[in-house]
Amino acid sequence: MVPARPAILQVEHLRVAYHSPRGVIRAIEDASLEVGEGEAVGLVGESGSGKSSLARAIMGLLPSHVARLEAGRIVVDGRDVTRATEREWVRLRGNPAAIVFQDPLTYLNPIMRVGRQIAESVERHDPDTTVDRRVVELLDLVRLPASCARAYPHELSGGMRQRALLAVALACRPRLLVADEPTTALDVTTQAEILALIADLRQRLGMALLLISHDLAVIASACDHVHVMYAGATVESGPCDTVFARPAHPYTVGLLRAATSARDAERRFATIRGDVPNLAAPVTGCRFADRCDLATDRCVAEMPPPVAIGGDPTHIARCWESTRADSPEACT
Amino acid sequence: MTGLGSGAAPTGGPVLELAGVTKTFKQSGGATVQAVKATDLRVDHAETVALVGESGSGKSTLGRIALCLLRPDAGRVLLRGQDMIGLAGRALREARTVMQPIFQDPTSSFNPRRTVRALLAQALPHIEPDAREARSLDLLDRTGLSPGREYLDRLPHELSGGQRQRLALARAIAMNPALIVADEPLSGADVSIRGQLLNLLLDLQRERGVAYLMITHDISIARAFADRVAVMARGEIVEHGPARDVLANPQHPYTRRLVAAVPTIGVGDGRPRSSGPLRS
Amino acid sequence: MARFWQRFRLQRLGVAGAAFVVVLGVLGVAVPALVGLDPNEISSRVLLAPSLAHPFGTDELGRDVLIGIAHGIQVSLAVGLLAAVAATVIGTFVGAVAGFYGGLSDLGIMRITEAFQVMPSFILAAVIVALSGPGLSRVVAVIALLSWPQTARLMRAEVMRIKQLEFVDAVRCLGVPERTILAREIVPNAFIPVLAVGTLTVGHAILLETALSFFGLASPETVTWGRMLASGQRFLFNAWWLSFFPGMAIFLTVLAFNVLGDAIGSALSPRGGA
Repeated sequence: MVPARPAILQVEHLRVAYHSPRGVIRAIEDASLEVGEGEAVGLVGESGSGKSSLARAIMGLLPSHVARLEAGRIVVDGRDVTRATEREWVRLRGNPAAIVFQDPLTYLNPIMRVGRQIAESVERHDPDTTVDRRVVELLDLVRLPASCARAYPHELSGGMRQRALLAVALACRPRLLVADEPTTALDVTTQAEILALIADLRQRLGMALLLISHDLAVIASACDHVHVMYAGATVESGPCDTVFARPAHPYTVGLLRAATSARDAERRFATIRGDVPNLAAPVTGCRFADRCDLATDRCVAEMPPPVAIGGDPTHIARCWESTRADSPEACT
Repeated sequence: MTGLGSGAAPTGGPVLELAGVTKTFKQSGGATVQAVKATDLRVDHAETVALVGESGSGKSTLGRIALCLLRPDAGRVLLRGQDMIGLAGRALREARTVMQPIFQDPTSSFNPRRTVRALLAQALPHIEPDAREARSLDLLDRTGLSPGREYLDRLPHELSGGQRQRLALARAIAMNPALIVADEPLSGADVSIRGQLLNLLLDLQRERGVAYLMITHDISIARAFADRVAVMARGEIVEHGPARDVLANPQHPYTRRLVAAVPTIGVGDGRPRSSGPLRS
Repeated sequence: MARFWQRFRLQRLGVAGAAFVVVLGVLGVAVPALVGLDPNEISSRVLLAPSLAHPFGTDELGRDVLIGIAHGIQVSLAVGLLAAVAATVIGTFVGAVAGFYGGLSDLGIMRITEAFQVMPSFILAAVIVALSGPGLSRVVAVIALLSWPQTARLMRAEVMRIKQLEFVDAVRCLGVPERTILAREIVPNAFIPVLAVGTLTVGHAILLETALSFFGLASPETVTWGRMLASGQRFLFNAWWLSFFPGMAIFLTVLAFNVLGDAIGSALSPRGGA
C-alpha cells in the first residue's frame, strides 16, 4: 500500500500470542494496516478477530505477563515502538496516539469528578497551559457544558460519558485517535451524535482516526479506508467505497450480506455458516476455510498472500479464490 | 396443562393484547417515573411485531409486563383472550406457559449450576421422565446444537455466546408456546451468525406458527424481520404499523430522527454504497 | 459431584486443610477410646520439658500434655462444628427469606440481626453462660446465637443479587412456583459464599469456646484446650510447652478450617457462575 500522505501509524505483519498455563492463544496471526496523517481508517472484525488486541498493541497496553509480540513491527509517527519498554510507553501514550474505549463507565474513575480526570490528562501532556482554562476548552470542544466538570461519571448519561472520555484523550493533543468500539454501548441517536462529533473534531484538529468496530455500517459512514480482520489476520483492505462495492474476500462478502440483512429467493437471511474461530487451535492455511464455500485444498494448506485486486494497489485481499468471491455461490 | 401441543394453533383473535397498560416506578428521593403510559399493543398469530426504542423508552418494562413478570398499575394483559392480571398462583403458572421469554444476556439466562440436560428437563415437565432425553436431543438438533448428545452434559459457561442463544431458543420452544417475547435476542451474537439465528426463528415460525414480540433497539433487524413495528419513546408508542412502511416513511418526528440516525451501507442500485449522517 | 472433587483436588492448601481436619477427627475419636491414656492421671513427673516419653511435656500435676490435647480435640471440634452448623442453618434460612420476599419481613429480620451484631460477642457469651450455668450445650447455643446474623446478612445479599438475574425469570415463565424457585434455583447459587464463611465460623466458635474456657466459664470437668491455656499461663516463662502446644493446636485447627472453606468455595463456584 502506498499512502498518499506520510503514515502516522504503520503495523506490519504483526503476530501476538497470549501464553497461559492452559495453552497458547494466537490472538493476532498476521495483521497489517496503515493510517495516514489526517486519514480515517476503519478496522472491522468480530469476536476472535484480534481487533481489540491490535488496538492495545498499538498503545502498548497488552498484558505484559501473558502477551508475547512474536513478529512484525509497529511504527508510530516514524518511530519503531515494537520493543518499547513500559517506561518508554508511558511517554509515548497520549501523543501522538490517544485511545478511547467502549464502556466509559469502566474507563473513567468512578470516584473522581470528571473535570479532575480531564485535568490529570492536561497536566501530564500540556504542562505549560492553565489547567482550568484548558479543561473548559476541552469540554467545549466535545460539546459538554462546563458544569459537567463537577459531575461524577455515574451522574452523566452514556453519551456524555463518552464525550468526557474523548475530552481526556484530546487533552493529549493527539494526532491519531484510536477508538475501540466507541459507540457500541450507546443508543443509535447518541451514536450518531458521537460519530458526528468525532468527524467534526477530525476536521478541526486535523486528527487521524482509527475506528475499530464490529459494525460495518458505522465504519462505512465514518471512514475512508477499511481493513477487515478475521481470526487474527487482515484479510482485506482498501478504500471503503471499493471494498463495500466490490468485496474480494468471501468473509467480507458474507459480512456485508449479513450486515445488510440480505435475503435470498426463499426469503432466508444471508449468513456465514459455522461458528467464530477457536484461537487456541493452530491452523496452517486460511483460517476462514472451514466456513468458506469456495475453499479448496490449497486454501486449507497454505495461507494466501496479500494480492492487489483488479490491478488496484490500494485494494488488497488474502484469498486464493478472490476472483470468485462475489459470485452467487459464495456464502449461503 | 394449557399451551402444550396446541400452543400455537390460531384461536381467532390476537395471541397477545395489551390495553391501556400503565406502570409507574418510585425512585429513591420520592420522585416517580412513568415507565409506561397507557399503552396498547397487539400481536397476532404467527406474526412478528418489533417493539423498537432506545434506552429509557420503556420497551423492556413493557416486555416484562407482557410476560406477566411485572404487574401494571392499570390496564389489561390478555393472552389468547384470557385475562392474565386476574390470575394468581397455580392458575397463573399454568396459563403463562403459552408464552416464553428469550432474554438479552445469554450468560445470565441460565442457572450456572445446571447442565443443559437439567435446563431442558425443566422446560419439559409435561413429558415423561424417560422420554425427556429424546425430546431434549430433538430440541437441540432443531436449534442447531448438534450432535445434541455432545451438549447434554455441559454447563452454560462451557458454551459460546451463540450456542447459549440457541439453547435459550431451544428452552423457549420446548413448551410449544404460541408467543415468544424476545428481548434483544441477537445482541449477544456476532454479525456473521445473526443470519443463522434469524433463519432459525423464521423456520420455527413457519413450522409452528409461533408469534414473536421482538424488543430491540436495532432498526435494521426490525426492518428485515418484523411484520409490524411499534416505536416507543418515553413510555409511549409514538408510531406503529407495517414494518416496511413505518421505517421507510416515518411520520412521527421521533421515528424520523431514529431512522435518520442509523448508519447504513445502502444497497441502492444493486451496488452497496456507504451512507449515514456524517460521511466525510 | 465429580466436578467438585476434581476441582477441589487442585487446591493443594485446601486438601492439606482437609487432611488435617480428618486426622484430627480420627485422633479425637481414637485416643479417648484407648484405655490407659488418661489426661487427668496425676503423677510425680511434674513440669517436664518435652521428651521422648512425654513428647509435649507434662504440667504442674504431672499430666501428659499430648494426651490432654488429644482429648481436647473432641470438645473443640464438637463445639466448633455444631455451633457453625447451627449458625449456618439458621442464617441461611433467615437470610434467604428476608432477601427473597423483602418488604416488612425483610425490615423486621434485618433489625433483629443488627441487634445481635451490635452486642460484643464475648461479653454476651460470658454473661449468658454465667447466668445459665456451665455446660457444653449452652456454650454451643450461645455461639450459634451470636454467629447466625453474619451468615444471614451474607445470604440475604446474595439472594437479593441473584433473584434479579434473568434465569430466575426464565424459570418463573416455565410455571415453577416461587418457593421452588427460591429453594432450587437461588439458594444453591447463593450458598457458596455462605459455606466459605461457615468454615470461618467454625474457627470463630473454637476461639470463643477457648476464651470461655480460659476464664473458667466452660465446663470445669472436661479437658479443653482453653483450660490448658488458662493453667499454662502461670508457667509461661519456665514451662513454655504448657501454653505453646495448646496454642498451636488452636491455631492450626482454625487455620485448617479457614483454608478448607476457601477451597470448598472455589471448587463449588462454577467458572463464570452467578
